[in-house]
Amino acid sequence: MDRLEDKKLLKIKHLLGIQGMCREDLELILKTSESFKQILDTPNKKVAALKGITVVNMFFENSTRTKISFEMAEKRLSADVVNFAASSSSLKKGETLIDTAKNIEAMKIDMVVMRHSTPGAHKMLMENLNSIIINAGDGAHEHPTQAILDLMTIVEHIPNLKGKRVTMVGDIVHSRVAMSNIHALKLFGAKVQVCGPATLIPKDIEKMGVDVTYDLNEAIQNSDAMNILRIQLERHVGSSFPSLREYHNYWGITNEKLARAKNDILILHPGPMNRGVEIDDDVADGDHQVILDQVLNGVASRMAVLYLLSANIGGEK
Amino acid sequence: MPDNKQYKVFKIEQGTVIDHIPSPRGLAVFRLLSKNNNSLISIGLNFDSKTVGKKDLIKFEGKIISKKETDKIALIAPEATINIIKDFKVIEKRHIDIPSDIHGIIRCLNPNCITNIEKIDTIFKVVEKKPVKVMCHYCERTAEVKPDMIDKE
Repeated sequence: MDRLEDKKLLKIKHLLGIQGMCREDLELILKTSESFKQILDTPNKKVAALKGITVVNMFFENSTRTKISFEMAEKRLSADVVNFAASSSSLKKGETLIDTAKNIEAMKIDMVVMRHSTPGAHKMLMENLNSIIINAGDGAHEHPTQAILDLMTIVEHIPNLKGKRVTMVGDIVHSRVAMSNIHALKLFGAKVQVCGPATLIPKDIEKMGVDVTYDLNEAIQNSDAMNILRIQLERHVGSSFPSLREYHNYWGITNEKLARAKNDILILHPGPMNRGVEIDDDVADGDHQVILDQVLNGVASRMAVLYLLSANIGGEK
Repeated sequence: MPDNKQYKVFKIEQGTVIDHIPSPRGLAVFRLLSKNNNSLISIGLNFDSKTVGKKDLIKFEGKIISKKETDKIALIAPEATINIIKDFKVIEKRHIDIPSDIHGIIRCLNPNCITNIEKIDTIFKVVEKKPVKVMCHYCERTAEVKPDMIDKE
């Protein structure tokens, strides 16, 4: 690893989303992530890179993987970690998000990792705080660190993504993971495709340079990697498909359907998985899946993001 | 002194004439500017126009519209022209320019956007001019500007 004072700088000062990022920044994050992944494989998994830095995790939406992954990454970097529980906070007493955040910042924190249901909440915080802001998911808008860990996992198996087809399957319209993945994959030259029921595909998504298919068998045949997304029922208004059984019949990934795939197809899932709905047990535990690699890469890539962005602490916005 | 030419909508001595509003957007412009406005207002609809086909026009007696109000008109009727009148004569012709950024004035159509939840001013970037499409600075959703998005205060 480079020493902290020698580290290369990202062009971004905060990580609000993948949209608008440049490929060089993503490449630097991936390269740094590889180094941290090697450290995670050693008996002493901890480095002193963020010693003396205080990171506050503010999660306003439920999270298991992302929250633990960020906390693990922060602790592996020796940061002081504070977890903010929205359910027991002054927000429940009518305080605004800005006031809550400003009060927390007054206690001399350095970085904020936030998940919030509201798109734009991170940008608002960035404009009102001096801390470094990292988006851990904002509504159906972006989930940049998920896209980075997905990209890292795919690139480990497919080093040159130019011309390779990556398909996002399922509930695209409500998925922040899909949006961030599309932006990241396109920066690396991948052919991005989305597949799912018409009711779960955003109108005009082709304008993002994405191919659309409603035929899962076709998608399976032409893909080099598939990222299977959960149905985000908590964001649905009304019914987007007749039943979970029907959804599984048409859009669920099964070993039988995967028989038509390329031999080395990769199956990703950002979790949480609904086995028997969007993915069968045989696939979730099968030879093509890299799901637990994604989880490990999540810690390594979040360490990289925290480490690289910490260079901006105390700097200009 | 007023001339003797016959007008279908009264001439005004002092105030603002908004002309060349493409029909049927005249009433939308009227609704946008009429709140808290006690001046005499004359409206003409569906006049023949060489430039916009059918046009609407609005005359505000005694009211000079502000820059903010001009920006609002730009969002829904960028083809309109604005004449400021004094002593029955045009003393200023204002061109309507669509600004590249819009601060305040319009609200985001995304109900989940932070601007609809916290008390912060909206900021939009104009991404297309005909028709006017804007992208929210915060949630990054793009939408064509409709009259009901525009703040009537």
